[in-house]
Amino acid sequence: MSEILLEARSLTKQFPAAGKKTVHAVSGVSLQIREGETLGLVGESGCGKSTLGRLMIRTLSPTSGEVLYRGQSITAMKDREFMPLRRELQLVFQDPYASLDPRMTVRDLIAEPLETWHICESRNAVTARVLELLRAVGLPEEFLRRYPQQFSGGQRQRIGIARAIAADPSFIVCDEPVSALDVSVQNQILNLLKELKASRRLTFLFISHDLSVVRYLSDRVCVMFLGRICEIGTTEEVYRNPRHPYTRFLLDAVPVPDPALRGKEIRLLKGDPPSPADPPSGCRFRTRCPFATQRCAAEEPELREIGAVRAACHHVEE
Amino acid sequence: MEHNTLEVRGLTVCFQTAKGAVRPVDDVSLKIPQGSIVGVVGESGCGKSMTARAVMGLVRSPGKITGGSVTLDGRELTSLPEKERRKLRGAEISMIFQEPMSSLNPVMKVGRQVAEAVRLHTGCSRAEARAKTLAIFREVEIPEPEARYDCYPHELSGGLRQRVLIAMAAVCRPKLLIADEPTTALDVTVEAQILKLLERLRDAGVSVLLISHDLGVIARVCDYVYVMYAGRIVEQAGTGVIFDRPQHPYTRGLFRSVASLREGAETLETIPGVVPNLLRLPAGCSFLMRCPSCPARCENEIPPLAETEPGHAVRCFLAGKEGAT
Repeated sequence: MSEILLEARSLTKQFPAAGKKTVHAVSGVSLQIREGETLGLVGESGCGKSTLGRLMIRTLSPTSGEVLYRGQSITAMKDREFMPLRRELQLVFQDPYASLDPRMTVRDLIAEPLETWHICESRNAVTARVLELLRAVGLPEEFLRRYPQQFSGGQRQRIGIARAIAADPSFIVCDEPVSALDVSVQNQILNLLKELKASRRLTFLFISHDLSVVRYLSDRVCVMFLGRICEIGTTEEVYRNPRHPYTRFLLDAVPVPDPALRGKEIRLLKGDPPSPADPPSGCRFRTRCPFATQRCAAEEPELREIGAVRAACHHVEE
Repeated sequence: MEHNTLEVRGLTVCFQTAKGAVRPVDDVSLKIPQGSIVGVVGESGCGKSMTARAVMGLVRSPGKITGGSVTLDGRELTSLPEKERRKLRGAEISMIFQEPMSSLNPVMKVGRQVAEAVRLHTGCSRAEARAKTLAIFREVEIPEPEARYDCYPHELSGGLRQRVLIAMAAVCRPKLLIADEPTTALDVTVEAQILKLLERLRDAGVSVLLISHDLGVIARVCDYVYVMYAGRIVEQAGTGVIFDRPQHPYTRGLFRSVASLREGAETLETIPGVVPNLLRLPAGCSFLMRCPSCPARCENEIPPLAETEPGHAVRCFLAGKEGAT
């Protein structure tokens, strides 16, 4: 097995909210990401998946807990110590319309990370490298002097990916990279990410609310609910045999593009997700869970081995 | 004979821009039988939302309806003066949008917003309007309706806001409800609840025009489907038929893209290229540039929307000719 690239140890992130409340975005999350693997992170809006992604690459600092990169705590580092590692830890954003400076040409956008890290010797070398990156993400060379607004969403996302891989990082957080795109274009980007993962030996944390997208790219999947991990395991195991009740409801709720399945009565979850500013005691899923008992209110379930996965539920058996 | 709540014939919307005229909706015809959910599916910019706006009479300048007719229960809408149309909106035709927050007044309690709509259209008393609002809140399963009545939109979750909007749209018992991507901004577990609600309204006799880019949503609730591409309808059929045997190369590409993702294929199916710029549409078939098999004829001639079997029409010269299944 390859070595552990990144590790989260009891990560907690709280944000102050109006009315002296505290939003518990991420609560005591521990996980490991091995070199070369893609870990999918799924959950509904407000479950803390984006916050966790940002904590992992130190664009946010945790309230408590720490993140280790190749065994070294990046949480405790001074900014100056961390600087060289920034190059290793990159991010692809959701909105390809908001994440590219409209006044920069494609060349300058992709050259920016190269210049920041002094990767190339000369201006010409930078341009040559930019052209190489354009090819790698499937864009024609004549885009070099154009501006982002001249491109479609899919083309912009390719530019965003070229920026992220420009400095040869080892780890990339992809935060909903295809949710702003149309179906026919979404698949093109997913294929590209899969290809880059193989050709550049990249490790991904792939965040999405879309379960089929996560399934396609991920080796392992982590399901979050209200700041905590419900279930984590290999993609095949989690999708084929979900253990945690929330994972089961989540998989059930996805509308299947097959009208023949319409008659099948789907089980609906009651109500809305609870507020992260006021999470329930014990198991955070219990207010929506049909199997909840008194124990769930009193005692917070720990992640434990259940068959081939790990899940946090008092009532799931082998 | 079945009764059509809405009939749209040859609807065309034209925008004059500095670079020329574009038609985001080009010769669109569709009908919605009473008490059914009809879906319009397509990708961004295909004209599905503009079609909905045109039916509502909400096309803003410089856009203009330049042709076709829209009839609601046999009554022509396109020629109605704005004053008349306004009376219809919210009473006989209602619309709900993707982002519920931007359709609600942020500084007004949600109960009052719904009650105001009731009073505007029925002229009933405040007390009656309140009672009607609470009744519809119960019907759309808003928990603790009395307490929610006095909430501001920001105090509600996205799912509850969408329920409030549906309550507002349904409170006057419209004949037609237009839902434009009603669940796109919602989480899947909440989406399932909202779709269920649309089905309940349908069963109560409301006709629904559901606009979505999500084939899963379409498959779950629609009775009949129209597929739009670059302003035109390229295929239409009953939901079961279109999922079973799509004919147009665009529909097929779309369905294959979605299926390959679901089935976990090694490499995903895609549709090569991008959606054409409406300013530079080819003279013939608008799918031309992305089509895997186009005969010379497609370059100069727009294929007609022709029936391949009863209730199934396709805008492609090759449809039904290659023994396709």
